[in-house]
Amino acid sequence: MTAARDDHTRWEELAAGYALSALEPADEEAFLGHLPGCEVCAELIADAREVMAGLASTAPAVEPPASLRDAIVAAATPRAGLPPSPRQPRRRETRRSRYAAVAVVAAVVLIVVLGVWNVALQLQDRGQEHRLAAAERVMACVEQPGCRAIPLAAAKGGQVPVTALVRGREVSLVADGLPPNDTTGTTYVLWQKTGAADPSPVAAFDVTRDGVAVIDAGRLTDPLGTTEWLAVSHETGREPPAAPSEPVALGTVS
Amino acid sequence: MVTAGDEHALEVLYDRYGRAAYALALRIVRDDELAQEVVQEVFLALWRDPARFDAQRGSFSSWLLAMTHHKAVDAVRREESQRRRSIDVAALEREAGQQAELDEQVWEGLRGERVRTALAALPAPQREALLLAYFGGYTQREIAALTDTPLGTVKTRMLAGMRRLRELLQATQDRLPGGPPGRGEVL
Ligand SMILES: [Zn+2]
Repeated sequence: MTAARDDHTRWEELAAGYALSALEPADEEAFLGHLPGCEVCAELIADAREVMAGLASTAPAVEPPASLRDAIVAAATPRAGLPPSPRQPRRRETRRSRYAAVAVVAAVVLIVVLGVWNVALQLQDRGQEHRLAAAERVMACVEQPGCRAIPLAAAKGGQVPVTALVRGREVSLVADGLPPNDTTGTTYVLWQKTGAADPSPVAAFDVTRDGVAVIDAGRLTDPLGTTEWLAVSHETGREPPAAPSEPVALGTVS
Repeated sequence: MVTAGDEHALEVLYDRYGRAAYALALRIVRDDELAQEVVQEVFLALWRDPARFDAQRGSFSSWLLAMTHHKAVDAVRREESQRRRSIDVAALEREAGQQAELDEQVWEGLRGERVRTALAALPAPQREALLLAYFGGYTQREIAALTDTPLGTVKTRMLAGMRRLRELLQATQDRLPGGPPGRGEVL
C-alpha cells in the first residue's frame, strides 16, 4: 500500500463518520475541506446513505399524527405575503413515558388508518386520485437508479401530455391530458426512433378517460441508449401503421 | 420533480416519505413532539430549496432519510443530554434486531427483515459502532468512550461496518422481473 492510499483511507473513515453525522467538530471541518472535488468520498457518502436508509427501515412503524401533515402544508403555504414559518414548538410536557404510550396506540391505529385511507382515496375526485397515483409513479422512477423519466412534449408546446418512464427496456407512459381515443376505430401508438432505422412502433394503446392515465407500454424495440426520440401518435385503425403520422407528443433522448 | 412553492408536490412527497421520516426521527429523538419538529424542518427545508437534492448521486429517499437523520441527531444533542446517557448498547442492539410488531407495508416489512439479517451477520464491534452512531446519535469520540475503545479503532470499525453492511445488503438485493411485450394496457 502506498503512502497516498493510506492518506486517503483516513478521509474515507471520516466520510463514513460524516455520513452518520458522527464526526467531532474538528474532524468535520477537516473533512469538509477535503470533500469538494473528491469523487471517491462523495461516492462513499452516497453509498453510506443507501445503507443508512436500510437501517431506517428497522425502526418501528409509527403513523405520524395527521396534524403534522397539516402543519407542514400550512407552513409551506404563503399567506398574506408572510414567508413560510416553522410550526411553533408546543409545550414540552411529553416525555418518554408518553412516547411509549403513543407508540402503542399509533401502532394499533395504523391498521385502521391504512384501511380508511384507501376509502378516502376513492371518495376523492377521480381525476385527482389518478393524478396523485401518476405523480407517485414519476417520482418512484426519478428516485430509482436505472429508471429514466422522459417528457414527450406537444408539437405546439404548452403542457407535457406524456411522460415516458423507462427502466431497462420496460416502458410505461403517464399521459396527462391526451384525449380519449375511439377504441373501435383508432389507437394511440408509441414510436421509437434509433439513429439508423425508421421509427418502429413499440406499442399501441388506448386512453379511456380524460385526465391522467398510466399505461404499461411493454418493451422498447432497441435499448434506450441508441434512441434518438420517442413519440406518441394518434392513428386511424387499431393496428400501428408502417410509419407514424404527425406525433401528438415527442421527446428527444439525449 | 419538486419545484419551490409547489405545495401539491410537497403533499405528494409527504404522503410518500412522511411516515418513514417520522418513524426514523422518533426512533432517534424518542419524543413525539420533537420528532414532529424534525420532520417538519426536513420537509420545509426541502420545499424551500429542492435543488439541494442531487439526482445524480443516490436515491431521493436515502437522501431525505439522511437529512432526517442529521436533523434528528442535531435535535437530540441540543435537547436531551441526560437521555443519551441512559441508553445502553444492548438496548440499541435489541431494538434493531426486533421484528416489527405489525406489518405496516409488506415491502417495508421485508426490507427491514433483510436489513436485520444483514446486521446480524456483521462483526459485533462494527454493528455496535454503526448502531450507536445511527440510532443513538453518538459521535465517534463518545462511542470510543462508551465502548472503551481507541478513537482510531472506532473510525476504522465504522467504515468497515458500513462497507460490509452494504455488501451484505447488495447480495440479497431483490430483482425486478421483466414483463412480456404486447398491447399497452391502462393500469
Ligand atoms: Zn476523499
